[in-house]
Amino acid sequence: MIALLAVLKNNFYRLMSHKSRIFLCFGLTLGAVLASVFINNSSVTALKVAIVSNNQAEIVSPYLNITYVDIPPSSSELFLGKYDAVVTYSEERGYEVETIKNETFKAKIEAILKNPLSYAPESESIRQIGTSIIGFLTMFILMQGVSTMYLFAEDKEYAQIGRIAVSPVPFSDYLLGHCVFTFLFLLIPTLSVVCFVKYICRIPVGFSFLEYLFLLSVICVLATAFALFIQALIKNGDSANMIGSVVAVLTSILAGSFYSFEENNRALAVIVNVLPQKIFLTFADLLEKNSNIGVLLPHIILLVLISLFFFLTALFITNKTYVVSALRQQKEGTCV
Amino acid sequence: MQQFYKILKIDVVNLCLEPAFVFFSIGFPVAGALILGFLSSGSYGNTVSSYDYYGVAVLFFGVSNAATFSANSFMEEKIKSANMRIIYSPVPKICIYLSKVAAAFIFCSLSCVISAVILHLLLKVNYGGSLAWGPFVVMLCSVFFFSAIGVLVCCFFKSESITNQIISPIIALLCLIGGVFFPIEGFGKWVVLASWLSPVKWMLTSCAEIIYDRNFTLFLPTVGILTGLSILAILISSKLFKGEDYL
Repeated sequence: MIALLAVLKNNFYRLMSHKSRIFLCFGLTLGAVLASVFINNSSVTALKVAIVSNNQAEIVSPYLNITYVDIPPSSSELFLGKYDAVVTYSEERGYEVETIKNETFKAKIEAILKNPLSYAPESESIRQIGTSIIGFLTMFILMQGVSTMYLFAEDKEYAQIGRIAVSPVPFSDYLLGHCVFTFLFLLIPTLSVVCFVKYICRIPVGFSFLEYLFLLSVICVLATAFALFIQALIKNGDSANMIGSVVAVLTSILAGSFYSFEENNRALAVIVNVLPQKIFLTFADLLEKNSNIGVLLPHIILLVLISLFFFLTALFITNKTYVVSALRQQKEGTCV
Repeated sequence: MQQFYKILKIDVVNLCLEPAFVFFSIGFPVAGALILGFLSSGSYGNTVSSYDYYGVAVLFFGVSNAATFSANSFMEEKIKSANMRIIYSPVPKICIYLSKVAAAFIFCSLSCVISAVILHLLLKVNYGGSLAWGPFVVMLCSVFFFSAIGVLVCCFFKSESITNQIISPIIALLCLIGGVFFPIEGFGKWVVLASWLSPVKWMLTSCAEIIYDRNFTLFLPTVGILTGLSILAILISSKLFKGEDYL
C-alpha cells in the first residue's frame, strides 16, 4: 500500500515536469466530445437517392433523401457513398435503380419508389446520443490509455523496473500504482470535459452525471488494463504504443463505436460480440433505454473479468521477465 | 550529399530491422481491409465489392501512419545519442531531420506498395488498372506529407512521448472524418463539409475519381497541395529545430 502511494506520488511529479501533457489531454478530450456531438447531430438515416429526370411528379418519402439531377452522378460518387442509388425515370420503362449495394437494397428502393406512402421499413434500433458519445470516447480513451502508460514504458526503457524488481516492494503494488495513476489521468479530464459540455455549454449529452461517472470509470478501468497488458506484452515502449493504438482503433471500429456494420456474417458477428468495446456499448445502450439491473449486471461483470484478465496477465508476464530473471541473476552473482 | 546518403541509409535500415514496424506497416493495411471488407461484404453488390472500398481506404490509414514512423525514427531513445553526435559534427543540421523524413517516406512507400499488391492479388482490389499510376502518385505524395508532419510535430513538442500522445488520435480523427473506416458522405451536410478539412478525404476522393471515373480533375490540385504543405512543414521544422534543446 505504501509502495502504491509512492508510485502515485512519483508519477505525479514526473507528470508535472511535462505540464503541456495535461493541457493536451484536456484539449484532445474536448475535441473528441465536440466531434462526437457534431457528427451525431447531423447524421442522416434517410437513404440518399439521385433521380435523373426532367419532368415528373415529386416523390415524398421520409425514408428517402432525394436530389434531382440532370446528369447522372459518376460512379465514384456512388463508391464514396454520396448517393446510395441512382434512379433513372422514363415513360416506357418506369424507374430503373442503379446501385453498388446488393439486391435486397435495390428491391427496398424500388418498393419505396413504387409506393412512397405505404412503405414501412423494418424497425431498426437507432442509437441515442449518449451511447454515440460514449462510442466515440471509447476509442479515444483506449488510445489515450496506451500513451498515458508512458511512465511505465520509461521505467522499462531506463531499466528502473529492474531495481524495483530486486527491492522488497511487492511487484503487484508497483503495477497497481501505475494503473491507478493512469486511471485517474484518464477519468478526471474526460469527466470534467463532459460536465463542461453538459452544464456550461448546455448541449444535451444523454446520460446524467452519475451515469457518466459510472460508464467512464468502467471504460477507464478497461483502457488502463489494456494499456498495461500491451506494455507488458511488447518490450519496446514505442512499438507497444503504436501497436496498442492501432489495435484500439481497429477493434473499436469493428465493435461499431461510430457506425454499426450490418451483420451479414454469422462467424464474424460472434467475434465482434466478444470484443470488450461491443459489450460496453451494448451496456451503455441498455442503460440509456432504461433496462433493469438484471439485464445490465452480466455485462458489467464480464467487463470487470476482462480487465482483471488483462491485469493478471500483465502481472504474470512482467513478473516473469523482470522479477524472476533479476532474482536469478542475483543468485548467480551477475549484475543486472 | 555523401553524408546525407550515409545517415539516410542507417535510418532506413533501422526502420526495416524493427520487426514490429515491418509487421505493422504491411500487416495492418492488409488485415484491416480484409476484416472491414469481410464485415461489410454482404451489403455490396456485384459491380463494386466492399474490398474495393476498404482496399483503397484502409491503405490510406497505413499511409497516414508514416507520421508515427518518422516521429519514432526521429526521437527514439536509441537514435537520440547518435543524433546528438551528428549535431556536434561538421554535418549540416538539415541532414538530421530531412533524412528521417526521407527514411520514413522510403519505408512507408515500399510497405504500402507491397500491401497494395498483396490486396490486389488476394482480393482483386481495383486500383484503376492501366491508370494505377494515378493513385500511386497520390499515395506517394501522401506518404511524403505525413512523414513531414511527423517530424514537424516532433520539432514542435521536442518530446517523443508527447508526440506519441498527440499524433495517434489526430491520425485516427483525420482518417475517421476522411471516410477511411466507413463512407462519410452518407452523413449530413455539415459533416461532409467538415470532412474536406481532412487531407485524407482529398486523397481518397481523387483516387476514387481516377479509378472509377477515369477523371483527373482533383489529381493535380491534391498532389500540388500535399507537396506544397510537405515542403512548408519541412521549412517550419528547420526553423523550430534547435540542436541544443534536443535532449
